[in-house]
Order: sequence, then C-alpha cells, then structure tokens
Amino acid sequence: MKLIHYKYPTTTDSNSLSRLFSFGTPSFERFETFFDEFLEAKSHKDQLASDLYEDDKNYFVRLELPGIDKNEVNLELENSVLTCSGHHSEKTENGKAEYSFKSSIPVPEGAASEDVSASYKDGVLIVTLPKREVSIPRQIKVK
Amino acid sequence: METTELDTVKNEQASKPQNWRRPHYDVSESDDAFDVQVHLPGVERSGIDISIKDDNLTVIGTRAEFNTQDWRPIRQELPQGDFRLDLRLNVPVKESKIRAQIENGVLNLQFPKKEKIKPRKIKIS
Repeated sequence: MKLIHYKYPTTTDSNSLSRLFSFGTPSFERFETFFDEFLEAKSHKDQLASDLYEDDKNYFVRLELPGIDKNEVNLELENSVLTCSGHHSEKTENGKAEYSFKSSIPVPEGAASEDVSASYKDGVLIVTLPKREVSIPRQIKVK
Repeated sequence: METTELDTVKNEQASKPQNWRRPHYDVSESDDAFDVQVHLPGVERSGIDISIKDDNLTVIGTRAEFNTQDWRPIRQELPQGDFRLDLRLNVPVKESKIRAQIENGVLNLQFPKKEKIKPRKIKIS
C-alpha cells in the first residue's frame, strides 16, 4: 500500500451525523469536516465521496455523479490512483450552468491497469478494476 | 416457539429503522412555473414516489439494489440509505399539471403556477 495524502471528502448534502458515526474512528479531521458541514461551509467540494468494494476477481469503485452525461467523465488510472474528472455544462432558462470536478481515489495496488471498465447508470458510476493474477489468492493442495 | 407480545413483528423490513438521506436539491422560478431539481443518484424511475398532501410535497427515492451480494466493502464513504425530501409548497400551484422527469439520477419537477400568482402583464393601449 502506498502512502497517499488523502483528504476526507465531504458532501454537503449528506447527513453529517450518520457520516460521522458510521465510518471508523473519527479523527480530528473528521470532526473538522463535521463542524464545517454543520455550519454549511461549502469550501471544499474538491473531493467526491466514493465507495470501494472487492469480489474475488475485481475491485469496484462507486461514485455518485447525478446529472452528468457519461461522455463528460474522464477516468485515469496511474500508480494505484484513479482520477475521475469531468466538466458539466447545461443550458438552463437563466443561462448556462456549469461546473467541473476532479477526484483522486486511491485504489489497492493489486488492480491491473488494463481492462478497466466503467458503467454509468442513474447517476452512479461504477468502475471495475480487475485484480492482477498474482493478487488472487490461489488454493494450494497439500499432497 | 412461544409467541410473546414483543415478537409479533413479522415483517423484518418494516421493523428496521429507516435511514433517510436528504437529497441535494435546487429550486428555480420562471414566469409560469417553479422548477425543482432533486439529485437522486442510484434511483430508477420505478423507485420514485412523489406525493402531495395538503401543501407538503414528499419525494421518496428508493435506491435500486445493486449487486453487493458478492461484493465486500473495503471503504465506504458514501452515505447509505434511501432519499427523502419534504418540502412545503407555500405558493398555489396547479396540482393536476405537475410534471416529473428523471434523467441520469436527477429528478426534474415542474410546478405550474396558478393564474392568480402569475405576474400580470398590462398592455399599453
């Protein structure tokens, strides 16, 4: 595992209390973001929240990107960091609404950079990263 | 097994505490209507329930079960739970003409204003 400076993502629309109590030990950073959220500070929306799952053959990264067109999303994988970025613009009655986002998500080292696939449905992006052969545990029989 | 008064709840789903997430939403106004945009990532068309009782609008978005059966969580940062948004409509709207659309996890609701609150235009004769 590499050491990557990682900033806890915050989303202002999430329930602060449930976030605070459902993920591990709250650190001081957590408390800071908790209070920021409490005071509705919208200063750091630079990191998107993501979920990471695994099964026997793949890692899965799950991101919530409602309202984005799938062509507006760019994904890059480099040195066990998955970077998800994009730019969204839409015409509204009052002119144009646009925003950019970029998020770096640390993924386990055992993820193969080839054959990465992603699917987008109902505002949820799921990136599938196959595990490298080596990192799949192999059963060895004792003869 | 003997049944006591305490274990009469048969439906386990109903006895679980419900965790609601308040979705992100935007409200904008035009001359004829109010537009409400609600972000409901992971919710399909069939998972949306919109109701109006008196002047309370309730939007419930049930997230489609995605394949987590064989998935083991390593890190979970996203809040869990289904979405629920309660809004009070303090302006008269044409309830029969409310339109709702969902695309890419964003629900668009359009509430046409009743005639009496529309700005009146006066022509100069």
